[in-house]
Amino acid sequence: MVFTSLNFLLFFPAVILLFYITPIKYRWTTLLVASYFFYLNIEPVFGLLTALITLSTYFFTRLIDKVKDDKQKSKYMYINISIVLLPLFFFKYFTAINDGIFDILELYEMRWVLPKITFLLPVGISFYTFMAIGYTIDVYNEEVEAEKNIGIVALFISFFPLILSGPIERAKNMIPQFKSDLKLNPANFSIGLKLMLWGYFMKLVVADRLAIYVDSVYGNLANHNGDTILFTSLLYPVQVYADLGGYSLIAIGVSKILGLDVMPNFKRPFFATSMAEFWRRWHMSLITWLTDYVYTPLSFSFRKYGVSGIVLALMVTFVLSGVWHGATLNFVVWGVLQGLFLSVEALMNKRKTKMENRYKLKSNFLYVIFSIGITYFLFSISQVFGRAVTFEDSIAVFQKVLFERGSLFLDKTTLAYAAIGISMLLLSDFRDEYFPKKFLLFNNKHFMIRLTSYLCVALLILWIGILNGGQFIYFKF
Amino acid sequence: MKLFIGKLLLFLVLIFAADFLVGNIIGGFHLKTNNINLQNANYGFVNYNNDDIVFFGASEVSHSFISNKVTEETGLSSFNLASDGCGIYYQYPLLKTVLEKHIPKVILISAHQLTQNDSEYITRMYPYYKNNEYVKQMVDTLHPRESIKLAFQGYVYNSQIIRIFDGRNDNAKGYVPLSPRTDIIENENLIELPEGKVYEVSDKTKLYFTKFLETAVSSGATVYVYVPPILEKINQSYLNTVKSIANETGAKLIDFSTDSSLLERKELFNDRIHLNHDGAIILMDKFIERLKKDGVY
Repeated sequence: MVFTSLNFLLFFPAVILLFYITPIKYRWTTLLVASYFFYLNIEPVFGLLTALITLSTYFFTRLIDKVKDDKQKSKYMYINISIVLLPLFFFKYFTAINDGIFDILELYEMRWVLPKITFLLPVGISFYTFMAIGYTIDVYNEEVEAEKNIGIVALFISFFPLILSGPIERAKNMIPQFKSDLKLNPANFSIGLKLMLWGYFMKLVVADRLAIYVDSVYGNLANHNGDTILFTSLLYPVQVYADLGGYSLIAIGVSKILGLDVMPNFKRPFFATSMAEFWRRWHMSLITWLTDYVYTPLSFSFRKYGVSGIVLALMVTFVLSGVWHGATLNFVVWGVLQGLFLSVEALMNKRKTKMENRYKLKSNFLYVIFSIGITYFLFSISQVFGRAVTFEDSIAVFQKVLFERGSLFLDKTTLAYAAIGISMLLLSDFRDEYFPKKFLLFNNKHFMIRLTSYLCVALLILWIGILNGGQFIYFKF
Repeated sequence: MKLFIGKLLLFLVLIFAADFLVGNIIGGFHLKTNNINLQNANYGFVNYNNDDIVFFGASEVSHSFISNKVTEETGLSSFNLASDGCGIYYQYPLLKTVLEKHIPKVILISAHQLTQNDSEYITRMYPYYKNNEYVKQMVDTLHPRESIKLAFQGYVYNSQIIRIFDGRNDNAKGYVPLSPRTDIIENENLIELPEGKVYEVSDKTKLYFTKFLETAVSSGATVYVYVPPILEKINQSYLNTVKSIANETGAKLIDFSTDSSLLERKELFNDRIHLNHDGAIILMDKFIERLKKDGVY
């Protein structure tokens, strides 16, 4: 069941109704049942995995909490992290490792071909695994107490709005909320519905429309010239933003309606003026997770190496982020590129700041536009490795972009509809970035303006949204 | 909470009302559109008008069967009802709609309908869902829950607005000519045609293709299954399936898949699977000759 399916539009009101008639004290149980129902509907056997991860996490966090000895605490933490990571490694990296070994065996003509086994990746595994690990480390660091109610831990790991694609939430934010008196109130309802409406707009009008064009080019690279591929590659980050950003807004909106505050995942990323700023605005729940649990401990360990230590920590963190996305050379290169961009920025930061201050560049409109453009361009380049299916395809993309000129392939209808959606999305982000309290539509003080804007967005979704579109991009991670 | 629910209900009522209003306006334009594909669908599903010869299929038919030429040379009225990308789930309700109004003398359908297993194109029939029982039956059979979504006019005409207003008024009875290619066709110098795809024919597609032919034959029309010329070797098992279905249902086969007079002249093609206008003229000569031979006129 996905947010864009008709099933979800029936499921969610049913959950709200059940939630409403359940006594406040037990509302978390309704959410737990709804979450497992939601997840089991995708593939029942996947529910076992979340249950196992929940059991292990509950058991070991309780142990971490009980024992006094630091070594014992640390041992339990590592045991749980290993157990929780096992399914992720197995399902995500099994095929890659298998193929690698097959290649080596074939190289030495030692492979006896037997029927190949392939496993379906449990949707959302990368997300709830990280949530479980984060919770374990937080308990170890005594940032949160180990939860005594296994049901609450189960709900934290399986909470249906977040389980498939995040945001990757933290126990210290969610568990106290699950345990509090969850109430339905009109203000939350209103905020939640607005977020959902805009999330659906981003996904159905922008992301899925762009997907038609991007897929048609990237699915047939051999028959497209470099100019078309460059144009498509520049559009792809917008597709990903609208896809995961849309999903996140729907998830946050759904949670808000149920009275729960979930962290934001994007903050107008295309207005970032540097890669460091970009990564503070893009997929924020993943990046803050990696910062807290990987980058910060690593940079602390590498502190004796000075700037080189920071560069090393950045590289390791982003390569890990790449591998989290997928067990392919493409994603490793993607991670290396992010690490490189950030390292170069970190190394040049002092000089850059000095220059910006001397010439007052930060208030210079052209300089800001230039910085935004460069940042977007660098991210687009790295995303080629995120979109192309194989590393060879990625190389072919760069070869074509550099050496093969030709006329643009323009699917006019698709691009015309996409242009409407992209313009609205970017204008809205522009307004929020530079004029946060002006030109309000969804939050205008006049009811008629609010109502008209809801109606326009809803009608656009109905009339030009892709209502039978595909999955969310991040489901495959 | 009451105030909020009141506002929410007002919003929902307004959404329905606005959607209904816009839908009716767009629906009106849809029926008057100059877009050839939409015009052809409108003609078949709404305005069909007693043609003697009708052609069914996707792009391999819409760009090849010159209705006006057939009419000029045979004296029989004809219309090319083919629509790009549309498979058998579109053709079958279209045939039933046509037969309800009039029984043509000749019905032709492309064999390539057997190879189109997806059903995404059925969205093109949504404007007729409410008033055409055959369309409704087909949509409800394939996607039972679509009926809920089709309560919204925005869903009925989803992504059609640009199309509706994009077109010229030069419809040649459904035929859409393709210009000759100026660039060199891939594999032009190959003596042998490349191996074609191995088409998977699904049971469901086969079922509806057979139903189409049975319905057409039982109406009393002369029914042809057309295997188009393409610059690929046609997979033999697929061709055998086509032949056996045609035989079993009593339809006649017109097979151009090995016709060297077309396949050896790459300049008659727009691409691997579509003839250009020059190719279509030659194909029509052959088709008209066949009609004469079969005593249709």
